[in-house]
Amino acid sequence: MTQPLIRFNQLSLSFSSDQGRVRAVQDVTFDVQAGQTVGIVGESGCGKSVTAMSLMGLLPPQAARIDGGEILFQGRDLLKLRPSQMADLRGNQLAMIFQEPMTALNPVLTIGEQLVEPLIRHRGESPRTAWALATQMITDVGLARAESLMKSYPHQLSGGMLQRIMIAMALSCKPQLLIADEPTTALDVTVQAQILRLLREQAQRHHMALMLITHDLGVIAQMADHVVVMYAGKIVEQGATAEVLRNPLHPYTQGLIASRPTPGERLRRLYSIPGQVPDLAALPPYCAFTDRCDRATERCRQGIPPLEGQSRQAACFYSGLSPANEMKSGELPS
Amino acid sequence: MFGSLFSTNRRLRDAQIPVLAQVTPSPWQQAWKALRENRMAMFCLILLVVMAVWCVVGPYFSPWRDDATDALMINKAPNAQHWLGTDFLGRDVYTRLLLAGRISLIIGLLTMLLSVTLGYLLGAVSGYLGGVADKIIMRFADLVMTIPSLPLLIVMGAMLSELDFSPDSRVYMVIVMLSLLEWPKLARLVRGQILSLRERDFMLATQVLGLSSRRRLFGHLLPNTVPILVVMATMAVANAILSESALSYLGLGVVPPTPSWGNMMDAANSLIDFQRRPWLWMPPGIAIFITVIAINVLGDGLRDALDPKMKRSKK
Repeated sequence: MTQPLIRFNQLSLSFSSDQGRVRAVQDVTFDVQAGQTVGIVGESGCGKSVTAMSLMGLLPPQAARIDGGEILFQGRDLLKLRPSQMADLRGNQLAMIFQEPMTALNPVLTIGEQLVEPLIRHRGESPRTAWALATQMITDVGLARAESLMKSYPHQLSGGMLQRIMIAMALSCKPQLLIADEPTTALDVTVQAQILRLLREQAQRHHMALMLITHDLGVIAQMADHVVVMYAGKIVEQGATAEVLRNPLHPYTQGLIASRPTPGERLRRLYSIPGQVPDLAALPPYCAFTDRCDRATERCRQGIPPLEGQSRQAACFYSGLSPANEMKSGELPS
Repeated sequence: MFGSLFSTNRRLRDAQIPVLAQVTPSPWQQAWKALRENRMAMFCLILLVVMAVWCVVGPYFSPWRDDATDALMINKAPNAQHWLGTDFLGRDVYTRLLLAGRISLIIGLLTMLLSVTLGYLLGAVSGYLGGVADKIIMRFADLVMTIPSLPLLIVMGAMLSELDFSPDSRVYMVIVMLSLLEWPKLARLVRGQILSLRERDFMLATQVLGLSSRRRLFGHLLPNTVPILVVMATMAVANAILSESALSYLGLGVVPPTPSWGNMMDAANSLIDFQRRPWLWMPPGIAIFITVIAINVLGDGLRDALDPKMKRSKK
């Protein structure tokens, strides 16, 4: 098997806080193959963004601590790189775009001044060449009148246009991985679709891997080849998107899918998973989803279910993947 | 292949974008426009420019030299030859007032330049680097700020008198003295700004792009502090002019024969001059008053123009 582009291997990290150490990410293991789109889903505060930030080396050094594991990028452990080596990778081979395009650009500089920077920094282009390349990039992400856009300021553009600019900037050095942290959350629905289409096209065109962080399963269904479901800092389920969505094994995934609205249907009250994400500083010594799970049994309170399975993994005693706990579906408590 | 997907929308966008880009001005143009619409601030700006030009050009048109004494024309009230009268050595008050204006304005501007440079640099370093550098710089700033400034100035002024500087070079010593007291305020303000700015998303974005610390600080962070810098610098000029006046009035700043608005007001120290010869101390007093008020109003206007969030709501 070829070496994956990115491999998260047993990554655990925590933050120091007033309540003690908050275990934000625990034992996260998954791969991103070159050119593959991996979706990471979960509620707010379940460790999606932190996982991405750790990959980019953007965690606040005073508060965050890596408790174990490694993040391999083409076989190199990113956590062991010096800050300067990491800075050489960022914006170059690893790129990232954010949720809020309106605040991610510097308000006092023109679009052009900001777009040329990664080109000058990483590719060593002259300002003149970089300007020409940046203008071309704006055209590539589907914006017209690139010349006049280069000279305009962020506040003059709409959110959708700015997100395109952010994508152009992220793609300028032809990265091998683009992390998109909820790239469409702040945009309205019609623009969302355009941005997602743009991301998919650019990923295919440059054979670029995409790590898509979202809480929208619809986005995952459209975009991702592989999906990783996170809950309370852990992976609870992962596998090929089609399989996971069609046949979710973990009750959390099932809950997420059940809580999606169906267009045109107004007959029932929309399902929501009861309760909240548990406090990461005081996780129970058993399955963290137990208290919200409508199928929890005594067994669930006796230990943490391991993530089991091969290409298709789930962390639930009743997932059916665990050979020791083979149960017929009829026996599932309902 | 890919371009054609967007061609349907492109015509629409083509129509909108150029109009947008041409109509919406840059942040600086917007600020300038806002300032121009503020009548009080514009009036003060013009007033200051007129005063400055008057002080610089005026003495050339005056028939009197500032240090020409005239034993026969001592303490004369304002008249046709001496528009603002003469002082106890028969020197023309009007000419001295203009020259004093030069000195006071220069002191104000140079003090501003020096203290803003110092305060801005130290504040920026402190806010951006944090850690030990931040602690050292800020504790030092606190130290300077906790010492009451007037007694300190008096002590320093007295030391200067001991050291026997020529009256002209004393002007520059005064500038240094005032700057040393002024910078901590600026440093704190800049540090606060930087601390809040560096947590903003666009600073994270520059980190994601792998830009160097130098580039992030000078290229991205500092341009965002320019608005507050402009406002602070304006206010610093007014402060420096006031401090200089106080110091010179006490005879510890600029010393005669070099005139300054402060040391001209020294005349008010004598009861007879104070009661009988208002032309000696009224003009410099009024000049200080007008200048400082004008600068402060202009500073307020600049703040409203540059930072709309700080603007006081209109009635």
